[in-house]
Amino acid sequence: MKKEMKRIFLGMECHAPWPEELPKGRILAPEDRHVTLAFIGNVAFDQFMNHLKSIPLPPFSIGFTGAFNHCHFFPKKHPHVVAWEVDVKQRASELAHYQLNIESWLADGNYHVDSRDFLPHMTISRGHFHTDKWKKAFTPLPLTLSNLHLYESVGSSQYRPIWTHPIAAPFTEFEHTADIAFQVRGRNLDEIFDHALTALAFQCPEIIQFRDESTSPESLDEIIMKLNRIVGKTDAEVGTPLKAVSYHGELKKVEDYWEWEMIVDV
Amino acid sequence: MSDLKKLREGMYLLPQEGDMLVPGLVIGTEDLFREFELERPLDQVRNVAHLPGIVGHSIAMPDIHWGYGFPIGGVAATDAKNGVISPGGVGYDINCGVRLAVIDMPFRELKKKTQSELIHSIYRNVPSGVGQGRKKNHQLDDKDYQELIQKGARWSVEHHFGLPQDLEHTESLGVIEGGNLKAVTSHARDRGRKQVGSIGSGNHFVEIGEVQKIFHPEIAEAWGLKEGMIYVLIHSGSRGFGHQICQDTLDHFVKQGYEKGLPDKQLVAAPIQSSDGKRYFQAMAAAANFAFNNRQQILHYVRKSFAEVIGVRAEEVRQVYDVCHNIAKFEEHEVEGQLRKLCVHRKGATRSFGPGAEELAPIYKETGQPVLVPGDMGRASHILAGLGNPMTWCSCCHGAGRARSRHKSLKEWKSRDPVQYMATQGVTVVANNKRTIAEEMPDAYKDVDLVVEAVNKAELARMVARTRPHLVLKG
Repeated sequence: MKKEMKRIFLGMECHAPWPEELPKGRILAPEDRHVTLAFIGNVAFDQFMNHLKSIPLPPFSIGFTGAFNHCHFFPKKHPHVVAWEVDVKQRASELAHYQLNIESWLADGNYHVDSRDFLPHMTISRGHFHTDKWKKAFTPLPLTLSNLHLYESVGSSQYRPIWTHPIAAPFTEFEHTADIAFQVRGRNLDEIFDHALTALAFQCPEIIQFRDESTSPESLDEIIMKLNRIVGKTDAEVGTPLKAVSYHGELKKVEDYWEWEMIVDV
Repeated sequence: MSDLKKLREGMYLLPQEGDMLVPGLVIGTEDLFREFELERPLDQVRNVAHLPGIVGHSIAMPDIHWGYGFPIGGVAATDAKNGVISPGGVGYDINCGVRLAVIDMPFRELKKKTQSELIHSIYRNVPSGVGQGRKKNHQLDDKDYQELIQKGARWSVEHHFGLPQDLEHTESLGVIEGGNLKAVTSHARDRGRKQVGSIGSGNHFVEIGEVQKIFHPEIAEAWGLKEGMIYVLIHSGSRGFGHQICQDTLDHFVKQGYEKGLPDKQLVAAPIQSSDGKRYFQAMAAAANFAFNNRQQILHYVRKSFAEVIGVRAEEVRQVYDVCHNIAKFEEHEVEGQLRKLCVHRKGATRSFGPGAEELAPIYKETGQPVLVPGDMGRASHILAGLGNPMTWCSCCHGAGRARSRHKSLKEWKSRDPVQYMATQGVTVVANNKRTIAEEMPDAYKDVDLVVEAVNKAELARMVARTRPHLVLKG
């Protein structure tokens, strides 16, 4: 019987406050945007699924926040891919370390391993494009990475998750009639602050420039005060639709992390 | 329908339970209650009933929805001597409010081209949207701040941003006494410096349209309202200045531990007679006076556009009234047969003094004050006359109230062009970004007709006229 072959790779879902307009190109749909951890290529699918049973699971249960910090064109000669570099800040080594684990595991199974250094990035467009226009259009944007997927390439720059290991998003928006509300997750107060700030930056990306790197917060009240100082500064300097983060909710322990219901007055 | 008990048409009792100091009072109709999620806002009504010194009821208007500590559409009066004052009972946008002006000219006489020129001229003259404000030479220095805080809207009129008669047709003559710049941080001043005379973002707007229907011909005549005539409605508040004052106070109150004993930290409140309570009132009054000036100057620039585009003189753009709907005010009301000084918190609620009220200009002393109730940008807004109902401390609703979150509305309109859709409904919408328009589409709001019907039934205010928008500038 002929083996079923699939073109597959492992990657994490990527979310950002995507710009409404982008330069011309074969732009990936928002739901297809991801950060590849390991490209595996065309493989016998059943055999790979058997190997997948031994995949080293990520040591983190909450995803990453960060920013796109650079626009790349691959390959350097005659580029056909526009990619935005992903900077996950303090957790860069955590991501890189896990990526290395995946590569070793693939090598153990005699699967393809990329010899180049890991450069976390998200492909945004393929095909023909004007590099100058993409360079000019690039602005740093906040981002989140969550859920680990085994993706199948189904053609036309579309990808289908065929296996998923859940990794909670650093925050998720939920319904609030008058204001904006988020479920913010983090392993400690620093992460809660960082993820809450990224949630605000999804509404108003300019806010990131006013991040205050001073002392670590010691309580939820301090987190709220710190966030509000940033909101106020942003409003005074460039304007923001956000009024303030309200003194709402408390930290709740969920598995190995904390959750906080953040409500933002707008 | 929760455990509400009908008291009379349009008025329901939320029974006192647990540590509530007073029962709740909910204005609405069964039709309206079926339309939206009531439980979370009602929990907030119950929470407000725990405020020390609260008198009468913790009150909810028919446009109630989930807010910060207090529900939006909430009213609570506390004893001025022994009660507390709560920034959450005023809201972040201190003295957010509405101003109405009319022009004695039928809207239908404006050709399509003129309508477009008019709204685009207003768009140029009145800064709107995130980060938009006045240029450097029009920014406030500390001397300006000092004066506008003392004088309220009169400061703008003295600086040629309006007419003296505007003041008489403004709630409290456009000034809340007791404002003090010393109670305001430099950070708040910096946030507001370039924002006076600008709309801001979110649900704030300038709207032009026609008076569509008159319900009460005598009052309409007394106020100079005619079917078909042009109206201008302005909705804005104290911008970043007020937001920062609210935030600074909340931070301070939380640090002082004033939330102890309250069921929700967001209700944090200081005794009115404490130095912290007095300081908040001074800062809040400063922000309220900033907001009166803000709407005064927006109207000035709207008048400028009317003059430029259709040659209408400033006096012909006649201000009907200006109301606050996020404010705490000291007022005297009768409590159990005795006149008492109360601090009335109206958060997403409008004062609705009835005929004979001391403060009102002679024209309104006869009729009750105008209560301005904006709906949404597609359907209608209402002009009511206050009845001074003592059950609600002479308060009424403030708008339609959101029925759907911004998030949901954005999703709903993601694949459609909201501007084009509004054009098919006969409304030209101009805004800095499409996102705001999508968030503010008419289907995100309750039907304002139902809200107004409820306050009419409960005898908080009577219906005078209904307006229909045609040109909208969104923040």
